[in-house]
Amino acid sequence: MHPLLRRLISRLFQLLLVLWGTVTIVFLVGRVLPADPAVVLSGPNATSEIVEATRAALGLDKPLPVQYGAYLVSLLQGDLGRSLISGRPVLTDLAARVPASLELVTAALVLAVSAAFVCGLQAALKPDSLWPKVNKALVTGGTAVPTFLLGILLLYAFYIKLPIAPAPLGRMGIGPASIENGTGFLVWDALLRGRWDVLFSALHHLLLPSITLAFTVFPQLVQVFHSNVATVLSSDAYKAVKLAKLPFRMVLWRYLIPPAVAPALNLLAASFGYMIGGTVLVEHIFGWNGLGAYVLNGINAGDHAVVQGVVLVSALCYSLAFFIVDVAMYFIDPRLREV
Amino acid sequence: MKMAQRIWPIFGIIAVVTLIVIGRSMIVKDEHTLVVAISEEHGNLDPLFGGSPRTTEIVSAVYEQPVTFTIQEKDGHMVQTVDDINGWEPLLAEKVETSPDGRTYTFYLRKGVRFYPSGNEMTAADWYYSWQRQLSDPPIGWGQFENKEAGITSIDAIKVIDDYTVQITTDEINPRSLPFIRFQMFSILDSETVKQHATPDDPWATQWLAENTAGTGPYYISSRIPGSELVLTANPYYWGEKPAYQKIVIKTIKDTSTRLALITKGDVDVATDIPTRLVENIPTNSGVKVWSVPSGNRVYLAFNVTLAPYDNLTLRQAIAYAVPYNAVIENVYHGAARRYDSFVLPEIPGYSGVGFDYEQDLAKAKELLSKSGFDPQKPLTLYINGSSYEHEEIAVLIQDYLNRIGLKLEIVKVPAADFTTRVFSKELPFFIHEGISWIDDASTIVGLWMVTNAQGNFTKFSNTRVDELQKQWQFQPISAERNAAYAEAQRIYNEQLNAIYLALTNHVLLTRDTVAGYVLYKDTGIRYQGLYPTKK
Repeated sequence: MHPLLRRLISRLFQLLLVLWGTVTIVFLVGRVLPADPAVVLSGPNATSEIVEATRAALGLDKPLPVQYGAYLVSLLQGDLGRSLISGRPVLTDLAARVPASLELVTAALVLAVSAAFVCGLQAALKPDSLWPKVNKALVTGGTAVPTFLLGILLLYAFYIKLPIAPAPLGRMGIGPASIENGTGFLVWDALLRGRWDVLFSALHHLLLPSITLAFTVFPQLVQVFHSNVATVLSSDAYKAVKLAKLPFRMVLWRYLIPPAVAPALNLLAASFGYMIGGTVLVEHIFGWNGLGAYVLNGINAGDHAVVQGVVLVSALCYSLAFFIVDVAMYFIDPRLREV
Repeated sequence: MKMAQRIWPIFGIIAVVTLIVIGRSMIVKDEHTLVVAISEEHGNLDPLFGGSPRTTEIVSAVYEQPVTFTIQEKDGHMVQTVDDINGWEPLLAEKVETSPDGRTYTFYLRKGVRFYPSGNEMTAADWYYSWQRQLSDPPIGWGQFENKEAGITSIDAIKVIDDYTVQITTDEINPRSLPFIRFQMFSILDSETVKQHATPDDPWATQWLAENTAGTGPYYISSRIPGSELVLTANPYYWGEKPAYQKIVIKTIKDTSTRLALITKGDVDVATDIPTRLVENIPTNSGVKVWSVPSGNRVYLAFNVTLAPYDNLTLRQAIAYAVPYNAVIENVYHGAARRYDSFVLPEIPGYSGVGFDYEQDLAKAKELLSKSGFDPQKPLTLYINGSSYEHEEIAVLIQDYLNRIGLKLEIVKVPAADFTTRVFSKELPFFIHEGISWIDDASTIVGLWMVTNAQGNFTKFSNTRVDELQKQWQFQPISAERNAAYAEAQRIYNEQLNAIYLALTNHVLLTRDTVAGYVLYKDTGIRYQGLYPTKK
């Protein structure tokens, strides 16, 4: 069998195993917790008959293995259940929220990676300049200041004190009408349809939340990238290339950056997964209608289907990110092709 | 190369500045648009599912009922009429007549009322269908329950006389029938539209109505982004006075300090769920108006009197004398609360506060503690809702004062959903709780909170005399004898001290000072149709 195909099958199998394990654990944890959706949904004045009728309607009166089996069958049919609170299918709710979170995470990741790339490279190339000191300050600050505090500080500085940032009203301001029947990725939809008002509003509203979220992974990324570049710079292979007196741009893009970036790809995937989970606080502060806000509501209301749906999507994003990196590594690292 | 290195940062700065300038210039808001920041998303929009105040206010904007609430001025604020038995007036009915025997109500329907978006005219057939749906079996949401409380247990009680006349006959004389029919569960739906969305699996279109509406109210939902934004627009078919705000943009902003910043900066016109402790910090010249209106939200300390050691009345009394009532009002609610002495409020016919006259008296508390025979070395455990900051503050205050009389108290914060489940399941032994009554009437409050095994009787109080009084008087019209009976029930309940009444809190709403017309309803949902801009 071709090594790439073998690798793909093996990783896909692992991905499915992780997803199955995740849904099973979340299903069981939801049932072990004392929160009873039937009681919560029925309200304080409900008679025991109403609570029992609600429980039966939700299928919670059946034995646990039957509930679990029904849940798995529904999942395979693409049915994630219905939210108790909103009354809508969880899949519909997720379709509105996943793009919001993914857009924010992507913007933050682009910011964090770009900044880490520039700062790490400059600091490694110019060890006696200000760059290493700036990096150290940013790493210390980024690690020490909690996300929610950073978000609040940025809001205070750039929304309350300086009229730079937009009002934290979510993904768009009050002015432009939203785009109907789009993909949910506002920036993308606006570009495709030439809706410049939506594009500017969406980018404007992305500024502070994405900077806040980027700071959650920037310290690790910049440290790893700095150290990788420094390692390559001190390697015999790189010294040999330097002796060849090749143009600087060729040395940089062919012999310095690729070997420094390749080992950081796994960290990139981990950062992506971490940010999917880390959006909860950022979404909370900036009124962002993503997965974080949704799962918080679900937990507070004992809404099992919502919690299960969000965890499943998070696990899927996390696993897919690693899957893509694994495949990418196959092409980047020739040693993997020889195995 | 060097040139390029210099150009890129400059290009980046220009891009960000352009983004900021254009972004800010796009903030468009006219005086007929009201922007609201709320803390939690609206839930199921089917009127039969009574949800949070935020859901109720959307349902109230989109649907209407046969009769509605009246309002009154109280202590300088406009509020829903406190006495619910008489607090109703016709809405979708032009007139309601009661038969001499008091059991049959004849509703004369308002003509020319049209549903949105179909434009269909409302007739008696829509009323009949709406009631069929409410009384469906298996029950949908609160339909059957609310009808039972109103004295309607079968669809046979509803009779269509002609296209514009409907008659309802209750099981027995019930002074609460019309007050109940004001609630959202009794909304009249566009039967033709709803039927089009019924399926064999969902014959009453509950799935469609969870997200869509078919009502006659002053607004319709013109757009909705789940979890983020809901826009109400004035209904062009509305039969009554057009609302002053043509558009209501409701944004879900979960973080309290963000909502506070938005209202202070003037980017939203209304902000809900701002705790009193934060209101004090709002600068006086910020253009924010604070509506702090006395409400019927009862905060209390509850004992499960069937569980040791809380079955010990003397111990409960010792705790009642140790509670710092004034500190709760001044330090926790910052003065936006008042004391109370019965679950039946003073404005309600039949109220009596006899039996609850506790003031903080630590010497007396110590004396009672020693008489109780309870070993003070054993710590008590107080359960609180983990999502309530105020309850935590109250718990810490009580812990401090119980310590002073020699009682140890452990505080356990329980996550919101778990707490609700455990309170409703009546398994918590000692906890802080709060709640409102949608109907302020002595029989409703005694029936829900004090009668043996009543659903809201979380303390498991049981007294045969109270049960007898309720059975005898609940369906009787208001009279001096009925009032005396309910006063007796409250005295018995108070003397048994199942609950220690802590505070009746104010409801706080922040608006810009350009917004007027706010009325506090008991469900605390905002009625947007009543709001208007002061700069007209």
